[in-house]
Amino acid sequence: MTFALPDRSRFARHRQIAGWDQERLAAATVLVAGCGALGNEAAKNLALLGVGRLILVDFDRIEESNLVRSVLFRPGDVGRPKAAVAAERLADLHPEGRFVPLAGDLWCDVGLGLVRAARLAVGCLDSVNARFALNRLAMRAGTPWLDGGLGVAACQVARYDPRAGACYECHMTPEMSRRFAERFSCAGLARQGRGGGVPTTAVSAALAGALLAGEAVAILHGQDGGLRPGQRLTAQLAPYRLEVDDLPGNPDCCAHGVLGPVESAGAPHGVSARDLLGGEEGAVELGFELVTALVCVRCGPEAVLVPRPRLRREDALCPGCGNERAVDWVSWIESEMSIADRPLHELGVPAHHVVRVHGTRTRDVLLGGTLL
Amino acid sequence: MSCWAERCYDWEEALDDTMTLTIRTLDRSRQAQVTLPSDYTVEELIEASRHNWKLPGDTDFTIRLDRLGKQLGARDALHAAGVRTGDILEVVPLLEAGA
Repeated sequence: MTFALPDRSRFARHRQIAGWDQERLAAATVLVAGCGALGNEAAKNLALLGVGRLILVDFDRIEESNLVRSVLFRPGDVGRPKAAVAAERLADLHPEGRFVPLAGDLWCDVGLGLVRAARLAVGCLDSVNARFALNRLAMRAGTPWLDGGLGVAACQVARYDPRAGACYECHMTPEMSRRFAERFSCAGLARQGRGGGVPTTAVSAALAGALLAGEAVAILHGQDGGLRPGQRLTAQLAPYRLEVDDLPGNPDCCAHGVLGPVESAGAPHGVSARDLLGGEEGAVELGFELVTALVCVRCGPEAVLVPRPRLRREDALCPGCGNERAVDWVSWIESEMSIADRPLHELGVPAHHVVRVHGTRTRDVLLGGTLL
Repeated sequence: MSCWAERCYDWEEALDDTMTLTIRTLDRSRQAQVTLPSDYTVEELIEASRHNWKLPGDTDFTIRLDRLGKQLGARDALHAAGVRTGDILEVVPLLEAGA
């Protein structure tokens, strides 16, 4: 008679779970948008669970007030980029994993191909605007996403899938739409947020992070049992309640429509619109608005090349007279424009982005990059 | 009976196109029984709750229909959203924090 030696490997306890597939998790890429309190918890759990690659997105830097809710951050990290620090600490937790930090904004720094490469996106965000941006990316990329939100003694987790159920934008209330619009000036430039933050603790962050990771594992395993697409779970600690609600869909929602097959090209550093057109007349559709000039009625125009989401209202104030300048922008680079010869990177196109090329035929082109 | 919502009906004046509902917050700290016109919208109900219960102005709220476990569309009228007399509606905050 022979006895098998007990499995003492890193994931031994996971392998005892019926239906668990550690290799499937190791092969998965998950994009975590937001690396604050909730992003810390969700990413920590995903790393401990053995998810192979996490793309960590956050434009923000660590503040002292983050330290009491963020398991991955230390006092000496104050001032450092959240995404980079999270990636370092996660690599300690799961040395075989790959953790890719991206210190950028969902509106203009996250290429659609990056979201498309992820099996799942996990939203750990703190505003309607950021959730709107991630929803648009995920719905276009065809990537399911989970949305977590925190209160003082409660949390919520919603599941969205481009192929079924309501999306985030479907069920935005008029009040949410009003607050979304408030964040932009008449020229469509971002205003400063309300600031001050929302009261939360490590308790609700840990609860929501656990629920997000549990849902993520189910989705990565292709299992049902948690939330269905278009459902939201609300967990409340005082008094204890757990409710799952169907979210209302909207047949007129503009966010739906999954990207089809794409062709591949080089990275935005080395490719211009003219290169993509291959000598044909036509245009390259960027997928965002590129500001080409800030125009002051008194002092004249200033040529710039900046994606509109990267400009703040303050940036549009004329340095000469202080007036708010008008914004000239394009979203298509036509073959006769001088900027058609500029590398797409100089036009603000991020790595792994997908642009639509309108030549003799229309095709979607996935640009390269080094993040994947 | 005081008027809870702007278009609230008294019991005595209740018409066929009204419905009597229990509305409460998710944490059950606030509750009211109200009779409302069936064309009253979910958005109006949220605003009435916000006003009567002095709910925080910087938080978005939705209404969930407890019987069906679903969030109601803000622009829907109560009858169109499947609400009927005797239902319990809960005012649910949309939790936005994460950072």
